[in-house]
Amino acid sequence: MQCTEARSLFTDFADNTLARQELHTLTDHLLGCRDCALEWREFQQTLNLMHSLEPQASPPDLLPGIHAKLAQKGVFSRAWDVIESLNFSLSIPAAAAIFTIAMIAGFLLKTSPMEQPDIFHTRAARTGTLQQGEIIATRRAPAEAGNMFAVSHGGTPQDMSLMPLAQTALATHLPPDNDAPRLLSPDMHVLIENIDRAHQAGLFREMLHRNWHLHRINSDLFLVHLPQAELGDFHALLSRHRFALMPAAAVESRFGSDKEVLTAAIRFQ
Amino acid sequence: MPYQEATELVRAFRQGDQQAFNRLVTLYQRKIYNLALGYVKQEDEAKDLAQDIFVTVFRQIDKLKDETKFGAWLYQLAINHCRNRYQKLRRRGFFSNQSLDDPETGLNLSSGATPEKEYERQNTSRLVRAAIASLAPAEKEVILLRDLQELSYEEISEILDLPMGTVKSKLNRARLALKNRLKHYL
Repeated sequence: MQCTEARSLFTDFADNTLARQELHTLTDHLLGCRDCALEWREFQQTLNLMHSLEPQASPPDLLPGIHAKLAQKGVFSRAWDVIESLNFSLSIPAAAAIFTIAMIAGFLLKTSPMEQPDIFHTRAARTGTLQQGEIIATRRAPAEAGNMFAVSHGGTPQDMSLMPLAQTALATHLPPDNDAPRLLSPDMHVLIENIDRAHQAGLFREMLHRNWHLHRINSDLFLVHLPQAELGDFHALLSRHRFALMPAAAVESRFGSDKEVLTAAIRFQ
Repeated sequence: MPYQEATELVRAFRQGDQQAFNRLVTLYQRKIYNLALGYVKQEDEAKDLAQDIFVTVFRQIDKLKDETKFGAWLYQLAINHCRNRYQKLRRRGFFSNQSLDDPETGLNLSSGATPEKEYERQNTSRLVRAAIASLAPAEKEVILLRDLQELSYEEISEILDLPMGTVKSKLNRARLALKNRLKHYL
């Protein structure tokens, strides 16, 4: 009997479940092989040590803690339990496709040529107390479709066709049908109009100088990753050109403050 | 383990008897807590893990098809939880600084024990538990179920959904691996 075979029988040997012939063969081997005899002794000692371990008492607050957790589970947790129990699974391409369709549907529904607010205009803060009988609208006014975009230099959507922004959204959200790397879903979309190659190169130099990561999708479409804290610098760079920005909230320097890094898709026209 | 009692308690729980659930927890809490402890090694983490396991039992009891198989079902559920928690903690580096020689709690004398003997006993216990916890997950599982939880090969085979021969050979390899880890202390 080889040593490896002998050692593979240790558990059966300890359980006393070896067939008679195997038992004799193993015993003879252990009598003649010092190494395996030592291995067997150590194996027995290990079993003895494990079997001498006393189970630890469970904490006295285990059951109250269970009930506390059961009480805490709210609507969303229960909904999640239901979802988990369905063993619902969705492949990444299918999930990406559903997300993209929802994004495009929402985007196309909102798109309509309307007057855009001047992005530098700010409404004065309300001062003073309410006048008697004054009614404050408690229901939020629906956002105008034009508020989806911020447009520079007093331009309007009629002047600046926003179709390229839709194209940017499509290009950056649709899963690729080839081996191209999957693109991140951008936080904001920018359309820069009437920019020549020299100024475009200058813009890129400024971005790279700030250690922002730049990815070229094609000659007119780029992705830039920048720290959220430097969003103001990004605005400053854009303001040198004629641009449209979506969503409009991205003009605020606090936009995306829940993230460390923001992604902007920039299309040049 | 009083399987008949467990079966009756499961039946009662399914019919809305919350006290039956409490009684089930009382029956199995020590086993499940020690199983969790074998995976995560730390008492607070093991308590949290054991609680999560029983919360899942409460929520998913209707998934149990055969009430007489509650024990195996509970262990399957527990092992899935333990595996997931272990992976999560490992990704966070929870186990990276732990070694067999890590000191843990202080000396607790049991009655009649001399400090030296008690120290030796607790030290040995700590070393063995640490060695088990340091095994690869698949090896650790069979050791925990057979040598610590004292389940039969049939029960382990059912819980892990493995043929009994595979369970035995896995167990043998795990015990040899554990022996090698404890070699210097034997």
